[in-house]
Amino acid sequence: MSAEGHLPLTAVEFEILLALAERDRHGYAIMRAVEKRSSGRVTLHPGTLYRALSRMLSRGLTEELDDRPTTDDARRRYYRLTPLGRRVATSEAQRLAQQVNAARALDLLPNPA
Amino acid sequence: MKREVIGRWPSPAGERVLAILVALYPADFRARFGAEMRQCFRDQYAVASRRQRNMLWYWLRAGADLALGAVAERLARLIASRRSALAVGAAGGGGTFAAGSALYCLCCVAPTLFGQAGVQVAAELYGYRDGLLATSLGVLALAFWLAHAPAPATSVAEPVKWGRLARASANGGASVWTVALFAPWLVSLVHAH
Repeated sequence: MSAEGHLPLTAVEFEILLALAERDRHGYAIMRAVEKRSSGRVTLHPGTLYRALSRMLSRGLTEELDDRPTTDDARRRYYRLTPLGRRVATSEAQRLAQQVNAARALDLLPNPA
Repeated sequence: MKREVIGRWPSPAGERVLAILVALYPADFRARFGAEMRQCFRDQYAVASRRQRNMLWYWLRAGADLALGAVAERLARLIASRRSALAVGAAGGGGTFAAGSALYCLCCVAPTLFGQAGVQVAAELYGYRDGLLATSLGVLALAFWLAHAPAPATSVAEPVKWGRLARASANGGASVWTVALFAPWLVSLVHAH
């Protein structure tokens, strides 16, 4: 399936892709990254996070790392973007950008200076 | 990455509630993500406990998230498994059913083509009216199977045994129906010789 075949993503899926685009993370680190980027407006809880991660693993957007930092808790599993996941994240970002441009054209958003 | 969690973890009673909530998820999902979910919950709880003294609100939000997530996960699998059941039924039961029906039609036509005594008896036993009835029963049986078949699960760790069982049920059911349809013809063929 092409990257466009996975669109549109849910808000949670896109947040997870953004968190993993920055670097490989374990589940709790993804939750923290999402909360920090949204300035606390978006809070993921374990049920939502792992259901989304499960879907994304089965669709090949993310994968689990075989190795993890030796200093970290051995129970944690780390996840990273696959090449397909990165392409999907790019396509979704472009789709959202087009929507933002449409909103600007309708004066729903101020034009950037 | 260093662990950044400093704060209170859930009490033993809270741990039991957490275990119950995680146990609501399907077994394979739980086996794959259960330990991580619990650890995430503890970490998030510990951080939240630094900000607020009363953790009831956190329990309500995170607990509802876990419980509703379990319901949603089970519903999603139920819907997916129904689709899989239809696909397997069409491929397995439907294929065998179609082959049996084609063979039956051939037998009905064969007396005209070949004039064989055994096949002639079969045609008399299975007139077109009986054939129509048998075919209708076969369609009903297939529809019943499609509605109630043990469906293969579609999950992170898909248990292959359910797929095999579903296919075996489809082919077995359709085969039994086909054998029942042709049994009188086989008997008459043996008697004719």
